[in-house]
Amino acid sequence: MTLADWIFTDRIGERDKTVLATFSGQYSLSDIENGMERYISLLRDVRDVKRRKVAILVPQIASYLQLFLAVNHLEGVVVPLSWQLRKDDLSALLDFLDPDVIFTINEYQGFSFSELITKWAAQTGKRTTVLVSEDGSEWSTPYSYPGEERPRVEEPADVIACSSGSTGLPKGIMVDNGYLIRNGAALASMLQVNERDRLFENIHPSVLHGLAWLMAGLKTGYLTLAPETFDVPRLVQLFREMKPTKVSTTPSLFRNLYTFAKGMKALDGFNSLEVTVLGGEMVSEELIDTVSGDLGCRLVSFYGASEAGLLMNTASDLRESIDWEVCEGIDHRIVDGEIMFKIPKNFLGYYKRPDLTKEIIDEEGWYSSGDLAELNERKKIVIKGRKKDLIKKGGQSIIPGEIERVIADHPNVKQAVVVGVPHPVMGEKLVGFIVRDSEVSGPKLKKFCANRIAAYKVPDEYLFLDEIPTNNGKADRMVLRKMAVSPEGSKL
Amino acid sequence: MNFEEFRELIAEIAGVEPGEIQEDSSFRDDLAVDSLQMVNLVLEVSGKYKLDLQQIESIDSFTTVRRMYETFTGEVRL
Repeated sequence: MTLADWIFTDRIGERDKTVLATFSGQYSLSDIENGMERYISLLRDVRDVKRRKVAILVPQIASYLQLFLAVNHLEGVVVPLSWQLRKDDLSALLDFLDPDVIFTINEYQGFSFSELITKWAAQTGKRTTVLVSEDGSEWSTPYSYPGEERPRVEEPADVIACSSGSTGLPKGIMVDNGYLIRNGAALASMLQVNERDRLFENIHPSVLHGLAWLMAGLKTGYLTLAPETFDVPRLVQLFREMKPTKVSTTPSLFRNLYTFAKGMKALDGFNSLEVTVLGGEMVSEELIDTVSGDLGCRLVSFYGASEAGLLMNTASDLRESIDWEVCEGIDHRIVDGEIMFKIPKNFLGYYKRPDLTKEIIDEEGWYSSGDLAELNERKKIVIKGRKKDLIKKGGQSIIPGEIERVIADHPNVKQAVVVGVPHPVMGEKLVGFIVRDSEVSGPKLKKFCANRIAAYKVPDEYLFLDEIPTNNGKADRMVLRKMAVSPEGSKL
Repeated sequence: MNFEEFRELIAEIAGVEPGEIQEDSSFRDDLAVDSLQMVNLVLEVSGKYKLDLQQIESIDSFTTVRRMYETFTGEVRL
């Protein structure tokens, strides 16, 4: 079953209802379906995409969704690409995932995606088709680059989502349609969403969790409020106008939204809110204190991973306790302090990396979360910390190795180690510890990184050391994190 | 808050050299400030100088350092 079959079958009578509101416009179920049909016709004229990789880099959410559903309907394999990527991280992803067809925005936030992508396509020597749009609605005549035909995708994946591996090289998370259907349903059920709801969510649509929410919205028929940018004053205004009943976002983004709304004397936008679910990073005591006073809605959290989907949620209000409960149908166990989950078979492994797949999931389907957990006195699960060196900034996952490689490419840098430390606005901020070969300043390194990788991956602060402290021959990240938060650290 | 103080503060929060900040510097293109860092910046500046957030309609409209300064101070710099 394609996602379009799942969403649009037997929906007569609901066609005209508005199901999606973004900063670009409002869309009914018919608008989404008609847009999808237009893309199906376009794709049929351009190229047979069955079992071929089709990358989509389109910030306008409605167009992105229509295109996504069209490719999916024609049995293509969708590779969603984030418009936050820049030269180095986007090129690395293209080299690795090697798409047959790419739909891209021409330019966005001052970066020319079409220039990079057409250059990339021209040098592959393989048959590649690129379509370019100014605004995500009208598309250029396809640019066709001749060459050898790539083999069709053999794996049964419907989507390959992008992420970074621990060494900084890209990873492709392969899932089937069942993943989006199952997780969309699990999210909707967790918040008990019904067709009368207005749900605000701003999880990036290029990540699987964001996609699952969008699919759930189309299927259930409630109104999804999904703004394209994190322009907080405009979001506060959107809350006042649309009065969401449910919210799903990350703790740091919610804190910022709430702080702004309070500062703008616009907390009335939160009046219809019944429940807010926060996920993607740890919920801090500071956040709970910030929103405790005037927020009338229930506050809960969920826990999941791109590979595994939704795994746990909190049973009671976060203001009372943070006790985790494992979702229905999922087994768990704690081995050597690490929590593991037995997950459904919708995750099909990392693209072309069975070795990495084996590292996180065993033959019986047990997924190693990389998080340390224990049971509290009430026999409830408590997350204690991370085993992996993963940083969460604004809810986005960052692998330090990727940034360390970029900084180490600077001619004056001998070694770089990046750690995350708690930050009230960003969740975690990135601190780069640098050993120099010769003089280079923090601001210069910042600019160096900003030209190469997505802005959220660029370290916020740079501290210089003569050498990196080590433990068993590896950088001692625990010591570095302590140095980064100590007042002395900032004077290094 | 005069413009010099504002520039010093932006440099400190954004992690750039004060000398790099011109009135028409773009937060995104010249100072590499993304949307989340921008929120941090606005909250820090407004918190430090007790500025009113009600006058801000859009953060994306703070394209340049001058635009943010003008919005916060009401002073138009030519």
